[in-house]
Amino acid sequence: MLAALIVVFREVIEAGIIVGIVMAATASVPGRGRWIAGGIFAGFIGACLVALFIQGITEAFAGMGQELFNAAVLGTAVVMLTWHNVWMSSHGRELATEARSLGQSVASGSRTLLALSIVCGVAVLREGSEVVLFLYGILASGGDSFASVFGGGIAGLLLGAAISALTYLGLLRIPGRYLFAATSGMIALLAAGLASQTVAFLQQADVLTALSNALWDSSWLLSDSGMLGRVLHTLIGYNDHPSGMQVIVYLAVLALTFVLMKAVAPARVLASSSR
Amino acid sequence: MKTKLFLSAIAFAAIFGAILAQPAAAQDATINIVVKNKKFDPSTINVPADKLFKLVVKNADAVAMEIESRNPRFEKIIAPGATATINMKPLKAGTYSFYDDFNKSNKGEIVAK
Repeated sequence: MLAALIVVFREVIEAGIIVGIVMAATASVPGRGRWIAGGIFAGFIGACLVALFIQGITEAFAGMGQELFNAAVLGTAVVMLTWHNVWMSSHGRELATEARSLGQSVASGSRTLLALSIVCGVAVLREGSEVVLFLYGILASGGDSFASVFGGGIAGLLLGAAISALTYLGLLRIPGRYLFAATSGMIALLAAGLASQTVAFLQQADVLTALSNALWDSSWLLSDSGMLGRVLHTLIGYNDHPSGMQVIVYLAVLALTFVLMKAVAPARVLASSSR
Repeated sequence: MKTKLFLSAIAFAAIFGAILAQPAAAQDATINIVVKNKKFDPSTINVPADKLFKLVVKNADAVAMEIESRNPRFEKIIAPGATATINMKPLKAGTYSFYDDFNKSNKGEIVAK
């Protein structure tokens, strides 16, 4: 039971943090609960499917299917998160401040909710398939009873949900006028970190070979496999020995997000914020 | 507004396209490992330093395993009875550890000389 709990908890930390940030980032968008819950559920179904077809996925693309699948999944999350930030920068303030009819807000908010729903789904899908295979392995090897593994798994999931709640409630303590900037910044860092992980998988697949040597090694200072390192790995993409290409892509995503957000922000918002 | 989003999509496509256009490197030696009864065999692998190689791992057990390493970084789930290939970058002389993420007591090391 304890083994199942520990593994499930370890794997759901990342998804838990991501869901918490997404909930806070959409605090002003009506109807977000359904979309995010839908994304998590779809991610869970996807995780079971990936676990079921893991051999086929692995053997695809000359044996590099798993790496390319992970890269595609992470890359999708990067695009969706960036798109959300850019979209919110042009529409978000209207949603938060203008007295628009609820129906209209729902209609225009649903596009970015779809993007973030996909992000939550992807976060669950990524590590979820490992959890499913691991728990199935414990059951198949006959060491633990079904009830014990199931109980441990549920307890681990609840701890993950607690992390979501903590992240969400913590972010909501930020005063309203700073919340948008804070969640935009966190989503940009999240996207940059996931882009850097995408690069790692492309490098493992030998699809991307340039600048693959580690740029530094800070594992002596903070290992990215410890608890704090793992949390920072998700929050800001901390990596204790990133390759040169990972660092370049990380910075490029941050810069691109910043430029696009500036480019689409309505002029009157800029005027009102400088007052 | 639409145009800008469209341009951003193009920019992303261009970045990923440039990444995918990189040619794959030629591979040198192949090292075979079998996982049986939740043990890597062999658990110590000797490779020449600063040379590319491939790890070919066969999972002979009835449950899935995940071979993983922090440095050099790689991870791969291997289904029961399946074989997976891991492309290794040239390693500086030294000892590197790897493990089964689904069964942490199963460990191995790569010695590069």
